[in-house]
Amino acid sequence: MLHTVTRITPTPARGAQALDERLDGFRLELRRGCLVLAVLATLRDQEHYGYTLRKTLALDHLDIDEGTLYPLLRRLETQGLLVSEWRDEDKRSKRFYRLSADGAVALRQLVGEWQALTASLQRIV
Amino acid sequence: MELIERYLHAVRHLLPRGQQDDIIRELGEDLRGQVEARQEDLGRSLTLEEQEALLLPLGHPAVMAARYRKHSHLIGPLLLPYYVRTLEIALLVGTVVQVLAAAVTMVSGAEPAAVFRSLGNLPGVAVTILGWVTLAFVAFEYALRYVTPPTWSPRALPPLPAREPTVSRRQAIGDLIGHVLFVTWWVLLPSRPMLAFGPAAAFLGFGSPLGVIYLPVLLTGVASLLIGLLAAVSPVAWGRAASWWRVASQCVTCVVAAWLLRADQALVVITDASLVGQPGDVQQSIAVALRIGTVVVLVITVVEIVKSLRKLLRQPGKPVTV
Repeated sequence: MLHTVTRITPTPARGAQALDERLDGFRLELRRGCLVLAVLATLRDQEHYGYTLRKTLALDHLDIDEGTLYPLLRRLETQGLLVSEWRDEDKRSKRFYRLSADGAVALRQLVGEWQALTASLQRIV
Repeated sequence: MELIERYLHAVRHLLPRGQQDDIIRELGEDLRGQVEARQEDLGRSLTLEEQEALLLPLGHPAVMAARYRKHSHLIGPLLLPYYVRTLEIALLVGTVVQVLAAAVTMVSGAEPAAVFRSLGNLPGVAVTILGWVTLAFVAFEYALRYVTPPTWSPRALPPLPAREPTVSRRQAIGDLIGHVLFVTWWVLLPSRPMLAFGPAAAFLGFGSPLGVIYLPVLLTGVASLLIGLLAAVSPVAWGRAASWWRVASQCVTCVVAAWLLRADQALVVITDASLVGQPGDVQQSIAVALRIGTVVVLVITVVEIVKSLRKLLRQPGKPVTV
């Protein structure tokens, strides 16, 4: 069976823009999975509230905005991987997060997965 | 920090209701903390442009709120709060219209079966509203995939309302149902005295005072219904007006009760001639019972008016905190 395919050739400017958009999408997907691991690992040894957690991650060149971090923290807490409590510090009320027992188990497994994946990717790339 | 507060206020109303306080508290603490830290560094308050620059990366309030919602299949988290609100309002208006239509059918002297048929349309109307609203939002959701989101400016956020609503939406809907039932009952009362007297309607009826109080009470009831509908749709805009109107309608109740106490004619009369002039005078007993009842209503209403006024005047409206 024959198919007639009409291909619309994008103009160079539009093509570059579409590629950028696709790359942004890939970058987002790549980061999304890593952020869970980064957040759990950062809260492994020390509790944090949102602002200091963002600062700590930013120091390691992992910038994450409030609109991504807070819903993620809430989701991880709902899943039982984090626990939180409101406390006053420096005259401000802050919500401190730390890793739960289930979170510690999940982190160990995720780190194992991450290491295996990185080793595979390094061989491939 | 007014722009920050306006942003938080806008986000709050798009969040799932049970989580609003907690999420806004956390987000608010973070943003205020950032503002204070920057102000300390600069040694001055942040300008409007600097506050705007802080908010822009967070995204439009609807985008921020959507991140806290689970993804639903037909309608995504971005449109979900608008969908739920539109559906609530459409169902509320549809129900009120249907109930009023049933009341009109009843007043026009139709058989009870016709009235029940009219009320029986209610589930069908609700399903139709649900279908059309859902269809419209699904189409909107689909169209959004092909539309580049417009740039937004924090300065375009609506100002903070000066006052919190004095009634909640749930309370306003409860009041509205009460008003609809009362107006329906009052409209039917002259033609169906059994709604007031039950089986005693066989020998009891209304005297001429009902004709005097009928229209003022009906108009007050209809006005309460309309204001109640507005308060249920938007408690923020109409909640306070509804509270003041409640006081006004209580004043009308007092005037009607006081007039009834002074009226020469009895509100309730015996229509069965064989009972008139019997020993123990039934007419007199009913008049005394009604008088006692009217005094009790008058006293309770005055107490309610004083309580409502004290509440409204002492707290002219808490400033909104987010």
